[in-house]
Amino acid sequence: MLVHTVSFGDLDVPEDKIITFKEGLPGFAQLHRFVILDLDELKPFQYLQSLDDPPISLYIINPFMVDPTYEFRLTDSDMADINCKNSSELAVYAVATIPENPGEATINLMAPIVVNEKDRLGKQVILIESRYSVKQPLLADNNTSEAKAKGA
Amino acid sequence: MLVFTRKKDESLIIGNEIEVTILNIGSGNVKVGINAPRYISVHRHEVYEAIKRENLAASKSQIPKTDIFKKLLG
Repeated sequence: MLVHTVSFGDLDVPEDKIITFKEGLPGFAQLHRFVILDLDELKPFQYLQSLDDPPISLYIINPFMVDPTYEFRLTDSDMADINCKNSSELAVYAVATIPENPGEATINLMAPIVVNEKDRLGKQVILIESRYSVKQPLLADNNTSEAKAKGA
Repeated sequence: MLVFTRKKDESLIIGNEIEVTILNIGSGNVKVGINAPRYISVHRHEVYEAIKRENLAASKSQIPKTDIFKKLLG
């Protein structure tokens, strides 16, 4: 399947790579089908590309690469939504926000994206009573920036 | 919008499965208890809005044409 991306042109993606987000994402409730693109030049990021209209895309990253102590518990309702019985079946991603000054990049640890890789079902979950920020500075030496103060 | 007046310990039923109870009324805040099936997700509105805003901001991210993130690869 040919995927049109704004930044990387047309990419060929196998149909079985499509991930369904039943509820869409907060802010993009109308988008249900996505693929995760792995491009060498984007590392450490991957690219979550919508296959529905509008064809938005988000940079995502392995949150454990940024914070090895990152942890959370999924609710039964979240687990059921992605048909997951065992959390070892899950892939976990955090959405990155990269502004013009990349040193101020942040990741959203309060709302990770979890994907049941077997059934290709995904959800951006909201961690209830979480101590994590929606704007966690991505680069540790930037931890004192105003980005942290803005965290919700 | 439906508007109800409720006293402490009174509740509302929404549909057949969701019960909202006023647990406590303070000055400037109320404590609300919600009984709902586990498949219903309940969030503070401002938290959901913050995540929406962040996703919209994230979708406008710049392509990271820099090596500063490579150090995360370890």
